[in-house]
Amino acid sequence: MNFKNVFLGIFASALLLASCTNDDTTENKMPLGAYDKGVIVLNEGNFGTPNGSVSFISNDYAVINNIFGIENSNKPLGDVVQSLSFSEDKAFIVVNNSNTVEVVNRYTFKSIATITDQIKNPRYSVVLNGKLYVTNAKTKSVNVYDAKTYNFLEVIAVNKVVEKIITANGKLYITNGAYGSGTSVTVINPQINNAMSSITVENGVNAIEEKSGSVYVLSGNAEKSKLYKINTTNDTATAIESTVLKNAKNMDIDGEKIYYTVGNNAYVMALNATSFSEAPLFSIPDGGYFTFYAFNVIDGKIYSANVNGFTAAGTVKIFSSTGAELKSVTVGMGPNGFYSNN
Amino acid sequence: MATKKFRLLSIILLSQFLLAQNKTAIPLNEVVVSDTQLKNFSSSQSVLKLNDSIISKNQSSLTSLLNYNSVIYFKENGLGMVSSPSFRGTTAQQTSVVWNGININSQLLGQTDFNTVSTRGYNSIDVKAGGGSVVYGSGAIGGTIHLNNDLKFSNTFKNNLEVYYGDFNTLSTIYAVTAATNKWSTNASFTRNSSDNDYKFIGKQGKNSNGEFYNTNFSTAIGYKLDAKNTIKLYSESYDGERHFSITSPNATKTKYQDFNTRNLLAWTSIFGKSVSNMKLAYITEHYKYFDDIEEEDFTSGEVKSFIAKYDFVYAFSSKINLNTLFDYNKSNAFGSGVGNNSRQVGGISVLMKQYITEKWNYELSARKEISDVYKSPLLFSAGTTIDFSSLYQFKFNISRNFRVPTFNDLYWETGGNLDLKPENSYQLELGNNFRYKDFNVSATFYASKITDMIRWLPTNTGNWSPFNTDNVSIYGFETLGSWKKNFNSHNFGINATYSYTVSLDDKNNNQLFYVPYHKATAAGSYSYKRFNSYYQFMFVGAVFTTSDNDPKNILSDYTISNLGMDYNFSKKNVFKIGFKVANLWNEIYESLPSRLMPGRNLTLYLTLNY
Repeated sequence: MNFKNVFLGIFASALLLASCTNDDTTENKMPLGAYDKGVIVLNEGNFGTPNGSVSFISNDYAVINNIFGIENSNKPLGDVVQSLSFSEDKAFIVVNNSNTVEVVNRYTFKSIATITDQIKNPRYSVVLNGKLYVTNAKTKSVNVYDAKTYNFLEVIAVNKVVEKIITANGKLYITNGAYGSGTSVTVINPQINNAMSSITVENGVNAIEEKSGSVYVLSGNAEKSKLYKINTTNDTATAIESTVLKNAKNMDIDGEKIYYTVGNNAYVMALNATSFSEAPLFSIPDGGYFTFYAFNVIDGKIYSANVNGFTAAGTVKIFSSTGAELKSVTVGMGPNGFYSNN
Repeated sequence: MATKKFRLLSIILLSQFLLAQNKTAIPLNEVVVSDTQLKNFSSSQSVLKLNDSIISKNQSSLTSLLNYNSVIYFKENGLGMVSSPSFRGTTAQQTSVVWNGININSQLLGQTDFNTVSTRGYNSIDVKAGGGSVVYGSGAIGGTIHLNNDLKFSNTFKNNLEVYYGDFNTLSTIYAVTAATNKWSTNASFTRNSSDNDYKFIGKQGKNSNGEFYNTNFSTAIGYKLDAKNTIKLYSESYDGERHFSITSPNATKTKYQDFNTRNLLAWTSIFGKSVSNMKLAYITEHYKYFDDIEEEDFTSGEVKSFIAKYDFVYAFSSKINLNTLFDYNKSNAFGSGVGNNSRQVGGISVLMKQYITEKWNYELSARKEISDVYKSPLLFSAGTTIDFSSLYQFKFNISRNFRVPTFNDLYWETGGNLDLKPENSYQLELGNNFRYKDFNVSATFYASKITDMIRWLPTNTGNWSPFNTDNVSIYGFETLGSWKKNFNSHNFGINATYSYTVSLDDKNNNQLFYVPYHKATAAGSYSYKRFNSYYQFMFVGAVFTTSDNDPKNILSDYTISNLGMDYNFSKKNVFKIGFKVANLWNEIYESLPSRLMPGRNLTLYLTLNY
C-alpha cells in the first residue's frame, strides 16, 4: 500500500502474462516423486516480499501449497516467481525480482542449485542441447548457461525487449514484447554461431507456442488480434486475424486445439482454423487487468487463476474443455502460470 | 549539490538580513508558539505533548519517537527504511504531519515517510488524535503530528551538542544554538544522522543488506518583536537524505532513494486591542530521486513546489468568546517522472469559535470550505465541548467531518491518473474522559469513524493501474493515555503509558484491515536521583493480518520490545552528560512487515553538552 505510486511503474513491470509451457507427455508407470502426475502452479508473490511459492495440484485435485519451502527447509524462493521450464528431470524456476534461477528436481522439488551469475531481471527460460537460455530483461539479452553444471557460458545480445523463449527445429524463438506492445519475434540459431533474424508481427505480441514443428504467435491490441503460424524451416509466417476480438492473449495449445482469452471470455478453435472463433467457450467475472492472470490448458482441462488483488492467497478454477467448472482450489500469493508435470 | 549548498546559504543569508532589520526593543517575556489553533482550538480532542527530554531519549526518527510514545502503529520496511503510520486504524495517507502549523504531507504520495523526519531539531512534538481537517486540511483524519519550533523571548544564550554513537556504525549528531533577548529570539540546529544499518538478523542467517542511510537537517527559527504589537517570525528548514533500500533476497537489484525537502515560513503577528492577526507565507518544496539500480546513473524523480498564504484573524468578543477566521491559498506545482508538469490551486476559508459558557464548560465550533480548480470539496466541520465536572474529572466530546484530497499521482499519473476522483470523506465522533488524582493523569477516549470513498489503485482492462474511490471502512476503538509523577528527596519517578484497541473493518467483507493491530501498548518509566537519570521503554504490538482475507496463516506475530537507558550529568552547573541506551534489551525477533526483520539488542552511547 505504502509507496504504491512511486513503485507503480516497477510493480506494473512485474505483471505479465503467464507462460504456456506444454511438455510432451511422458508415460511414467511409477511416480518419480511427490509432485509427479499433476500440475505445478507458480505463485509469483508480492513485489519486494520474498513470498513467491510453488503449489502442486494432483490430477485428482489434491492441493499441496508451498512445495519448494516444504522440500527445502523453508528456504525462501524469492519474489516475482515468473516462469518455469523443464529439462529431463529438472525444473528451472525463474525468479524475476530476486535475480535468480532456482534449479530443482521436477518430481521432488529438492533444490539442486541457484543460478545468479550475470542475472538481472530474468523473465523466461528454455533448455536446448544441454544449454539453458534465460531472457534477461535488464540487459536485453539471452544469457546462456550449462544445463548440467549451471556455469555461465555467454551472453547473446538482442538489444530489444526479450520476453518469452521457446525452441523449435533446433532454434530459439523469443518474443520482443511486454505490457501489450512489441512487434517482433527474434530467431536465434545456436547451430550456426547464434545467427539472429527477426520476424515482424502485429503490435502486442504476448504468447508463443510450439506445436508439431511450427511456432504459433499471438498478438493483440486495441484494434485487432492476430495469430501467426511460423514455418520453422524458412521462418516465414502466415496469419489469421480478428477485428472483433481485441487484445486477445493467453494463447495455449492443447492437443489439436488453440485456446485464448479476450477480457473475461475464454475461446477455443481448431489448430488449423482459418479464422478466429468469436463465440466464447465460457466467461468468468471481470477482474480488470487481473482477469485470467494465469490461463493454461493441460490434457483437456482449463486452469485459470484469480490473484485476488495480490492482497490474499490466489484462487484456481479448473474447467472442462467445454467450459464446465470442475473444481476451485486455493493456492499461494499471485498465481501466474500452470505447468504439466505428467 | 552546488544548488543545495546555494539554497542553504540563501537561507542563512536571508536570516541575517531579517535580523539586520531589528528596531526598537519591547520588553515582553513569553513563549511564542507557531501553531495557535493547536493551542486554542483543540481542547475537545486528545493531544499528547512530547517535550524535548522525551525526544532526546529516542532515536532521531519520527517513527521511533512515536512508536514508543504514542498509540500510532508503524509499518517499517526494516530500520530506517520507508515507514508508514496507521493512526486510529486509518491508512498512512490519513495522518498529517504539520510543521509549525503547515501541513507537509507529500503532495505526490499524500503521506509523510516518518523515517524522513528528524526529531531532534524541534522543541516539542504534539500528537493530536482524531480529525483536524478544518484547520490542517487534507489527510487530517486519523490524527495529526505537530512539529513545533517554539520561540522564547528572554535573555538566553545556550549551546547544545549531542552525539550518539552506536552499533551498526550509527552516528547521530545535533548542534543547536539558542540566543534570545526580550526583543529577538533565534534558535538554529544542525542534525546529521547516518548508519551502515547492516545489523545481523537474529533467529536466521544473514544480515540487513543495502540498508545504509544518512540525512542532514538544518533548521532555524527566528522571532523578532518590531514593537509591542508586532512580531515577525521566520522558520526555515532543509532536509537532505539518502537511503539505500534494504533487499529481501540476497541477489536482488539494489536500489536507493534520495529526499530533499525545504520548508520556509514567514509569519507576522499583530495585536490590535481585542484582535490578533497572523499573516503567514510559506514556501514548501519536496524533491525525490529514485535509483532502481544503484550501479546505474538512471533515476526517476519528482518535485513539488508549494506556495501557501494564510491569513488568520482572531477576535475576542469578550474574555469568554473567541472567533477565529482563517483564509488560505495554496498553489502547488508538480513535475517529474510519471506526473508530467501540473499545478493546482486551492483556496479555503475556515471559521472557528470557542465560548466559555462557564469557567468549567466550553464549546468549540468550526467549519471549513475549500475551493479547488481540480476537485470538489465537501463542507468540513468540527464541534466539540469540554466540561470540568470536578477537579478530578473532565469530559470531552467532539464530532467532525474530515477529508483527504487526491494526490498529484492520483490525478495526473500519466498511465492511469484519474481526474474524476472525489476526496476521501470521514465522519468521526469521540468521547473523552480525563481523570486527575494527585500525581495521576489518565485519559480514556472512545471513538468511532466512518471513512468513505477511500482511494485505491486498481488494475484496469487496459493493463494500467488507476485510482478509484472504492473502499469504505468503519472504525471504532478505545485509547487510554496515562501518566504519573512523583518527587521526593531528590528522587524523581515518572511513568507514561498508552494503550489502544482498534477495530478497522472493510465494509466489503467486515474483515479487519490488514496491518492494523487490534492492540498496541507503550510504557516509559523514568527514575532520576540528583544527576543520575535512567529510563525504561516498553512497546507491545499485537498480531496483524498481512492479507485482506484475514487468513490466520498469514499473520505477523505480536512483539514486545524494551529499551533501557542511563546517564549521568558530570557538571553541577550546566549539562555534561554521558549515557548509554540498550535498544531491544531482550533481543526479541520482530518485524512489522513480512521479511523485514528489525535489529536485535544494540547499544548506543551518548554525550550531551549544554552550555
